Amino acid sequence: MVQENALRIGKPFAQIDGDILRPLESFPTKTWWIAFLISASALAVFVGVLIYSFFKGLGIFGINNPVGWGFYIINFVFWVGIGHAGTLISAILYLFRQKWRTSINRASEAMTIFAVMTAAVFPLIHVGRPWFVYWIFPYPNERGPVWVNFRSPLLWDVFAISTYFIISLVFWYMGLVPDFATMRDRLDGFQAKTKIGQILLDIRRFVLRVISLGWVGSAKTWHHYEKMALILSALATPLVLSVHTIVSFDFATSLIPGWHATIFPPYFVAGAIYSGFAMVLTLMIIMRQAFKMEAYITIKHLENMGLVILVTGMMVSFAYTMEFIMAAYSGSHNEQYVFLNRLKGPYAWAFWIMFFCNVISPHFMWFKKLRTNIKVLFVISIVVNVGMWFERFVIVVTSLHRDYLPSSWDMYIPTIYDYAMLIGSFGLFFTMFLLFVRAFPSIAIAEVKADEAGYEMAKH
Amino acid sequence: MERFQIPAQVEKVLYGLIGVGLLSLLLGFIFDPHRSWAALLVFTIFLLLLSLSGGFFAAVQLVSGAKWSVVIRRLSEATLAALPVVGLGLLAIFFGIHHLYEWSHADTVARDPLLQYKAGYLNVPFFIVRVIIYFLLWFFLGNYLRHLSLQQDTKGQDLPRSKLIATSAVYLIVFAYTLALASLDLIMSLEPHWFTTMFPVYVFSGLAYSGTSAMIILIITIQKYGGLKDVTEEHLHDMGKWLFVFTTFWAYIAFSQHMLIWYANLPEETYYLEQRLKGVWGYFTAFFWIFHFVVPFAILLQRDVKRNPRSLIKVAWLTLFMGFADVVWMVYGGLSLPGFPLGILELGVFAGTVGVFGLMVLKSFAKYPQVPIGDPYLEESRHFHQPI
Repeated sequence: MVQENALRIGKPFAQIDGDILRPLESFPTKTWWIAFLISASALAVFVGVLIYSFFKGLGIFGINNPVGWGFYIINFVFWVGIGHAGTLISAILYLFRQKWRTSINRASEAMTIFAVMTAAVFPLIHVGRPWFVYWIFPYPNERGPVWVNFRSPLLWDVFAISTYFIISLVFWYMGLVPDFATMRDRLDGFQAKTKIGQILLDIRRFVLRVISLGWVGSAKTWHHYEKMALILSALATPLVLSVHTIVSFDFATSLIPGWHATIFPPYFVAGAIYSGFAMVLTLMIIMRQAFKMEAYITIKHLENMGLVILVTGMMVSFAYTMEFIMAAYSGSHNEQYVFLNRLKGPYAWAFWIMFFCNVISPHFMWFKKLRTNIKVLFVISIVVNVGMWFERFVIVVTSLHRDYLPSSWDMYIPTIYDYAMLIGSFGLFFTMFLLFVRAFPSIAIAEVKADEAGYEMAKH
Repeated sequence: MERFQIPAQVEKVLYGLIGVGLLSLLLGFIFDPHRSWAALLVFTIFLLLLSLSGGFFAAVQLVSGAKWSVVIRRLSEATLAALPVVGLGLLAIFFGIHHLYEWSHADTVARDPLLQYKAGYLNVPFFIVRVIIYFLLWFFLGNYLRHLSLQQDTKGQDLPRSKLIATSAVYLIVFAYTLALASLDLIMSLEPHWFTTMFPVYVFSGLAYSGTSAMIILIITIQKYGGLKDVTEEHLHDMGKWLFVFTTFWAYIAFSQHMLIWYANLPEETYYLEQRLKGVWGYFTAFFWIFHFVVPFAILLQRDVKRNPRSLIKVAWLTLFMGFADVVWMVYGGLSLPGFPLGILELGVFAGTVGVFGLMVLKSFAKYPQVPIGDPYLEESRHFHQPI
């Protein structure tokens, strides 16, 4: 039985190069400029509030005595979660031989790197004295010597996230090498009209020659390259899972009801994949529309991401249910109160937003009609991320604001600066992403071509 | 399509194993009834995990649209045939409820405020009703899935694959929630004060781990006697990977559960570990981590092991036994039984479980064609090759 392959693009290789590299080789469009200006302004707000907070101190934010962790930690967990999809797509789906990952892996890896960078800003400020942040790295020193606390999950975070970041970066760069070579070779077809243009072209040629690491594309090179990709994937796979596992330890190692739950590690990982895929979906829908890449990022890709959202969404719902069941079963007064307080307390609105977005909305993906409808997918992808942000809000704030001692109960009211930091973090993320799509091929050209060749062979 | 015939030799061995199991339980009930009730519970739970694992495997393969596994789907569905014996085991447990579950004693509950609080949930009639409901759901939904899959043999393309996929999806959801609740009722409530949210996931990881081991053993044994000719070393390689995945997954879940309990050191939770780490149990737990995770992990990393039936079946026997030891670890630890938890009685029960499971599954497997002959992906699955 011969099936028409839904992923086959069916274009000549030169045209594939041209289609994917068009955004890099032409002047930015108006849409890009508008998007860039909006993101850059949000980034400016972010930097402004940051500097202001250095002068004024953390008092400008809404954190108070019981709720010592506010938006900063929520944003941190949110962005680290987003950062899961990229390496999952490139490493785990590679091991699973999921061919559809090819068109979306490059952009989602970039997204991963930018999301982790955005996330890293928050603990960086939260340490209080960011200029001493290198103290978190344990090395023999003359500060007493002062050592880090190896028993603290916050330190494990440092190791987990920095390792993940480095491996993701290496992965991303290794994937880019053959594409850089393509870009380098294409430069021969360019002619500068002015003297400055010639200098810029020379610089560009030089940079590309350096970063493509002398790639020649011989059979031997490819052979080594494929082996390396497999080994790197195998090494990156446990890292993908370790990051949010460790982040969940930040909460689960504590004694606070609502935080201390042993199901947290797999539950956080499922939630991270859920939100990460939703973000990839949002970005891919925008990208394919803006750069006219419908031939490369097809409905099939979007549909598959919708299905991943459905499955991981149900896993998250399962974890919520287990938490409630165990609290009810435990007979522990404090444990039960936290969950009742989530349902009916002063932050019930946050819980119900989360419930609608995370528990109900993914179920639209059961229907093929809806998961192949781009508008529906776009809305769901955003709704899911709203839900995942509120999930972290619910976990952080509702567990803290009413702890064991009723006399110290308080409300957490975020200030305008908290919101500015939240919006600003999106500015940071999108600014980097928009620069990325102009500077790097946002689809892995070499991999797309390799798959194309494979499909052509299979046809004969 | 030729049906598989159970060789007389294998059947004899399986009946022998059942005999060993029955004999050891019988002697057990004479000499140490308390421990034997626990052993009976271990038998029931382990057999339950093994029977449900095949349904889970088949449903996951259908939902994900996997093609490589089509040739072994029939065998994985056949594991559901052991469920009636699980039903008998559960029935026996209902009679032994007072020997196992602390909360079923009125005088203990009267002295314990927490158990009084939980009495609305943990009481004998409601427990029995709940367990019967889970069992009926597993039995009927599993049989429906199997029935539908068998219809493919005659109807072929007329039975849309989407119907199978939808049924599998529903099956998986029901499976997840019922298994979670059943693990709470049957195992966690042995220590009625104790609770942790990871527990259902832990039980599930054990299910997938033991179930995969059992599948590998079944495949290789059937092939030895001329069945399942379509399964090649390529499929075995994937089964080996699947076992590797669940070895690692189990370690991840078990580590998270243990480490978080140990780290927080909450009195209402931490005694679970304390009981399993003191005295002879400390050795058992250490033994258990080494042979449940470290050894199979290291062995299964090797490609050749996964592709060679002779070596893979050895690993699978080890992991199957460790899956059983895991159930012992959960059940016996809660009942604070004296002595080393793996004794002659337990080895006999393990043999009995293997016998019952093997016999029920092979008998059921022999009734139908060995592969889903109507499945559109069957040809592709036959010619499956590992990439690179």
